[in-house]
Amino acid sequence: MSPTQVPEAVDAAPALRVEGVTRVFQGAGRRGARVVALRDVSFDLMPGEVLALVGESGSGKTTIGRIVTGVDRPTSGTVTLAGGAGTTAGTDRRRVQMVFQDPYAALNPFNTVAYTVSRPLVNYDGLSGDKARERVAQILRTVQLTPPEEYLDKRPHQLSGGQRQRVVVARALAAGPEIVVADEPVSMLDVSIRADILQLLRGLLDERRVVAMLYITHDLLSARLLARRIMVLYRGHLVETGPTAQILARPAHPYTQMLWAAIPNPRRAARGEEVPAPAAASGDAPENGCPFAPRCPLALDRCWSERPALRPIDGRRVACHVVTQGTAAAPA
Amino acid sequence: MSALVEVSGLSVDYGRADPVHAVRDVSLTIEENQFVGLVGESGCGKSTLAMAIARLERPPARIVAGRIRIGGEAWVSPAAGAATEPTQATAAADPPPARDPGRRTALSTDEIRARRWAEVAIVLQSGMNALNPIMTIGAQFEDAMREHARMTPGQMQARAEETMRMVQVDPAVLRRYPHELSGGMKQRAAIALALCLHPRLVIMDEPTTALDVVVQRQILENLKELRRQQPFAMLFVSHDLGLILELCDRVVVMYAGQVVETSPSAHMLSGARHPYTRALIESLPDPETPTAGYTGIPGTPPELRHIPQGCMFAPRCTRRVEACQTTAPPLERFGDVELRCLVAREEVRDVAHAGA
Amino acid sequence: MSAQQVMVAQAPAGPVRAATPRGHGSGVLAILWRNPRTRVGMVLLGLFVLVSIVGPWLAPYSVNDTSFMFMLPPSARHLLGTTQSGADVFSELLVGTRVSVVVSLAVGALATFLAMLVGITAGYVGGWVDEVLSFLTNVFLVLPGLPLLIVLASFVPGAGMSVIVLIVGLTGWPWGARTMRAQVSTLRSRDFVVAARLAGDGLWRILAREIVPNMLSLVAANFLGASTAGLLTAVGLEFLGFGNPTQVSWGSMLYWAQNSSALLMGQWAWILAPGLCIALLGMSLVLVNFGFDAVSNPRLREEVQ
Repeated sequence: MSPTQVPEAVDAAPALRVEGVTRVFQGAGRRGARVVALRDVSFDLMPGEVLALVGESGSGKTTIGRIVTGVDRPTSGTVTLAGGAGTTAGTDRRRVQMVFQDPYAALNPFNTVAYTVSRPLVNYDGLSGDKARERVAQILRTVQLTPPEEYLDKRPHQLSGGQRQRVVVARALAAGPEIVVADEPVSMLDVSIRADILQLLRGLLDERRVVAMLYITHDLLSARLLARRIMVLYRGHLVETGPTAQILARPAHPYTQMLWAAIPNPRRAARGEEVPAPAAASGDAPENGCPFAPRCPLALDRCWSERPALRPIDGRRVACHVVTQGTAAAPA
Repeated sequence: MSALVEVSGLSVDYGRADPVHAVRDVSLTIEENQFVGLVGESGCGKSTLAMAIARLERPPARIVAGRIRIGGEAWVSPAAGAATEPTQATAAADPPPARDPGRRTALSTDEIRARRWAEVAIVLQSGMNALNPIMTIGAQFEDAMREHARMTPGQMQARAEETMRMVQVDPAVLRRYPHELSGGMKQRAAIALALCLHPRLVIMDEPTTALDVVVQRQILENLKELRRQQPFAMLFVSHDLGLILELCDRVVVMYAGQVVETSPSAHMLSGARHPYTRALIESLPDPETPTAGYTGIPGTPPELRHIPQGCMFAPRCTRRVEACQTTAPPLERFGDVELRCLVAREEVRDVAHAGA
Repeated sequence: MSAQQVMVAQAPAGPVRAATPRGHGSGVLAILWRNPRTRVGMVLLGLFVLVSIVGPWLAPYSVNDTSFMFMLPPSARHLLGTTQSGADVFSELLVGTRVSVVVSLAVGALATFLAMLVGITAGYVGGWVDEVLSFLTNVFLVLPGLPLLIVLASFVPGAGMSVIVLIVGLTGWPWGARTMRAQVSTLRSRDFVVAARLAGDGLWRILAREIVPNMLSLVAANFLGASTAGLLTAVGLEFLGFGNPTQVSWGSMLYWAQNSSALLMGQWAWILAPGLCIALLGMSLVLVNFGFDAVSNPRLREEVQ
């Protein structure tokens, strides 16, 4: 039942490999809208790391989460786990688990904590009755719901938002996964309790309970807290990837810069520094160009006709003609 | 010289049997064209308070004490016979509403409805909930303007377009239905709708919580611009202190149904005194400090059915002393700061005396 | 499986949060009771159910006793008068209540069961199964109700209770199926259902533990609505003579009363009594139906006094 042990030596094989994943949603009927939620997304999730995937709504970040956990299938591209297993289906389903955003929607109001957390134990490990209950209690201790007996027979409405979220984590852990996908796990919780839940998630990795974690969020600051590597997603395209510290200290892609500047910053405001309001999109994204062109203050003609690829520059990878051509001023 | 909004001793309960005291003895003022931020965790009563000020509270919520005056008119007065604990704010006799000296209560529901939107407008958390899904945006503008003002169709159209431009949305959107718009656009349409009749007060309850940080920034900058173009006062309710500090002139911090601190926002970052406020500020993620993590506040907010004897924050407070468990601290004013804390008041008082 | 769980508003000090369940059966009844209209409906419904059980024992005379003067107006001996064939109308009413109430509720149950079967399958499985089932639903929706039933009933002359229940129930499910399908396809994408799939739960367990409990008030409302419709349709068929005229029910009473020109003959009670009962039973079902909105939507609840 323990997760795959992570060898002490650095293992070069990724825990999860996503290659060329594209996901197109086709509306029903002849005039159905065609939405490209993800285009050609590739990344490796290495053992022992938290990888942050940052984007706004419409960026496709939730879709990636669903594809990685096997809830959705890509239109093209592959998702492979360590050992070469294909897209997560069947019994491999247990290897990638999800922590959901809304603690109120992630738990069935009718089921007790014990029932909810025991399902993976019953389905995947064949436990039942008292043994299952004991194991559930153990897991509840891991997520700091102690004493477990107090929580086993409670229903979601008897728990606070933070407690519910711990139950959601407990359920994910019960399947003994290698990889946990956390989709905005704290955005609906009060600020004062976010730290605890984030630390809990971080702890899962530090204590080797899971092999790796994909942390999906729109909040750059919590990404900075948890993840050593970060990927920025815009309208289904990866626009910047690399070490978190460097990217947030000196964002290169114009979108990353916009995202960073948008964060409320009272100290900056107290100094009287003005922040330019992010431009509204002018026109639709070009079919074959950079998806950010309509909003980009630096867009060139080339940006509208040629989609930029991720290129290494300054210790990270950036998908931007302006930046990689070196025709922009040095990133701020 | 009186403020636009004067709330004194307001208390709101949920339920009659064994009620939850969601708001207790809250007093606050909003001046003309002033942006006041109301901040606190979920369950602190901030939304309840905002709804009560607009008289939009719904059963099981009930206003049980206090008064609210907006624009000099009493929106809520204590009914004769209701037990109202005299506080400093209500000590002065409050003249009955001018229009009907014989009536004990404040403005009638009809009168309030007439004033709503023209004087007090409201923007709620999800634009999607506020906008009627089966009407075009333009039709909803028309609805509001027809209900609360006398304008010709031409004037209504012109004003609707004008406010849409003010929130940086293409007026063509007026012909669309809410489901065709993104979350950000819906919220901006809701803001435009709120502003179309030149209200003196706009109440916004977590207007950007469901939105992305970039859209939130756009709306934030937009609001700053809007108050230059068409001045209005605002009560901005949010759990995001950083946002409030950037946008608002004054901050009111609520905990467990009470106001615990108020202060000008410029002063608050470094000068906040209440342990809860300080803890909130410390848990503010700071873009400028690479190592700043999220620090939490251990413990949970208290339940509000049985009010303890002492300070509501004492169980979670790092600075509590013996007296905090037994004495409920009063809200006191020190210059332009209000504070409810037995320990912190000593420091403020000393500073106030030293500076005087 | 637990009885219907209840949504009780958590007393929030902030924006109203989602519904929260608590306890079992008594909670639902408490919420229903609180609404004055629903209370009336519950009392009435309870009364009718009671009479349907004990009616025959309460009846002063046997319904087969035709020894009385025919077409008598109401009097002390015959509270509602007598029929064309000399039987006591009041006794017929009490006895006939059982058939009408049972048919009504049985139709409700059958139609709701079929609606669930079709609607939930279509909503959860999706794909071509959904296409086929939706098409089927639409076909049944389009078929003209009463004419179809008349045609069906005419194949089975003198249709008794069971046949009526079958043919009305088998044609009364499409409306419910549509709403259930819509509800299920929303529920399907809810996080806790996705989580159940990730936890390895199979189709039936998910339907039983995750989907159906979260649509119980829709099912209850459907049942009440279908019962109402079933009552009126069954009565309609009986009135038109397609039922079993020898079996006493409100509808058959109307049939015989109409045939005997009761109104013209001054025996108004014979028509009024069953007619009033039909209206009252229908109304009680509708009133209870109102109350179920509050069960599923806490914001509609009356405040606790």
